[in-house]
Amino acid sequence: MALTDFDEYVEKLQENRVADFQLSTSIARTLRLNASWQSLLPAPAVPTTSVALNKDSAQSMGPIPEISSGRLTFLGARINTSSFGAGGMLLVDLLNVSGGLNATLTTAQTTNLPTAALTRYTSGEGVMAGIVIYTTVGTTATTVTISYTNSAGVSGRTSTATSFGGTLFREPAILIPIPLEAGDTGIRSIESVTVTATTGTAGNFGVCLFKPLAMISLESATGAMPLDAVSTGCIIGSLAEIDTDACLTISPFTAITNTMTGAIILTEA
Amino acid sequence: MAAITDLSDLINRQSGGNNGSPENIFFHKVPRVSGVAATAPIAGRGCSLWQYDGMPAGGAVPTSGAIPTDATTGAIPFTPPGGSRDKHLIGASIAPLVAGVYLLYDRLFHIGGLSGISTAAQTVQGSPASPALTRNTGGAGNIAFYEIYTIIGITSTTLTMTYTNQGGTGSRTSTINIGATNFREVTRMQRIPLAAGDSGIQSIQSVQLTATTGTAGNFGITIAQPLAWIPVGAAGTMGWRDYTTGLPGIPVINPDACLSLMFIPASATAPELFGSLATIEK
Repeated sequence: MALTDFDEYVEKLQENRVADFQLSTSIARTLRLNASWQSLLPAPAVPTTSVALNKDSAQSMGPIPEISSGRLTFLGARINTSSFGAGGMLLVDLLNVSGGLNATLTTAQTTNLPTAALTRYTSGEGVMAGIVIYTTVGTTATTVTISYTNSAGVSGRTSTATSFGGTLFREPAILIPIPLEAGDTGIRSIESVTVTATTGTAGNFGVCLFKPLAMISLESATGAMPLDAVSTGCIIGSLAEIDTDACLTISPFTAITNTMTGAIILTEA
Repeated sequence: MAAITDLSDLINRQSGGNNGSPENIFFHKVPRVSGVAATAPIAGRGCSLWQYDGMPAGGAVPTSGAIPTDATTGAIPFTPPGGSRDKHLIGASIAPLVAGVYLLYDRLFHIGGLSGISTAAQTVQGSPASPALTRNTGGAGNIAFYEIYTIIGITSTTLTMTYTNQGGTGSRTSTINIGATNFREVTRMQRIPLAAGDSGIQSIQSVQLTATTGTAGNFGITIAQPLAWIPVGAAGTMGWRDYTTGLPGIPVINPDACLSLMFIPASATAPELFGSLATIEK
């Protein structure tokens, strides 16, 4: 099923079915991505074993509207930022999270790995991986790699080294996207994580797998942004299909420190 | 090519109706090449993100002339359109660490291994062109860049490009400076202007330096079909374009397109970015 025309789109907007969220703290760092699902209210626990997430997980906004046999569709959003600063956010389906890794060890770490089997986007095509920091790691800048299984099912793949530790790569609730090995277009699971050199502090970090769904630009000078798929622009990924069991959450990036509240408008089409 | 009829047609296809096959493509790049910090770009001048790590992974430095496609490592992956439909780019966004302007282009041809000290004519595609373009073969709108893969010398000289224009006229020539500060650094991507009256490129026979730059290095020539410009006004914000309501209209993506990015930064910092492309089929 799909929206037939503009009139049906307007009718669906008027239903005003939303999943909402509220961040309890400001984002951890400006300019780059943040794993702000850790700041949702009520706060999710710091994960230990790899957990496959769904619409009932604490990392998800909610409630995800119940639908019958149609297509759960992303119509728009209402977002408020605390400091009226420009920025944006990724709308993602967070597939799994794990924690308990140590930023001083330089051996391949398998604690709480491999990641839980995907329950959505199960091939891993288009699925991205990130490092999430739960407790501050060290001030020494180094790099990190993962060993993973790609979306074709080939195991033993190794990501290219990317920044880890040091300012803006050590604070709780930051998200560090992981570059893939040449030729790969998605990740099915992560088997191990290797820190190239100690950051100086063990901290606590983990990995996550997520499927991006849309990008939303936040640019109102008033801080209040009603956005829809047709009339406002500001959304790339409008009318995207959302899995009915999605752990729907956000990864914001902003020019200045902000907290956010808001709602994602969904419908059955 | 079937055009999007109206707003209702767009909404219907974007929500999955009528074989619209909506696909939202996401990518990210980090300021590293093969795991090593990338060379800082030059503020206000073109920088190739072809080799940048991320998802997709960075592309390789080309050697002999080649026609990259959607299957080439470094290309932003997408699902080719089904049936006889076209894939339409209806929106794009980039959220970077560095403000500037991003160019999304189809990388039609590339070659590396050219020398910054040779003053002989260095073959690009030769005549007849080999390999010849396989996409946008008429050449209209195609543009050319020189792209630095290993730093060349500190002496400024002139590069002369001999090419066949969009009308099929060969032996056309144009020039651009190369070498010296801001025109020698790794990842620099400098557009080569065309001769007066020309508006595209079917092929490039050769390039020739007037004098040595002092260091051989490694540079290449890339032919590109621009698809969309995406300006980003400030770091930490999201530049976005809705092509259903703004220029350049609704670009069609060739089923084999090698989608790549060029960047003109506002400051001399290698960019980290997250981006997306929204597409539908008709």
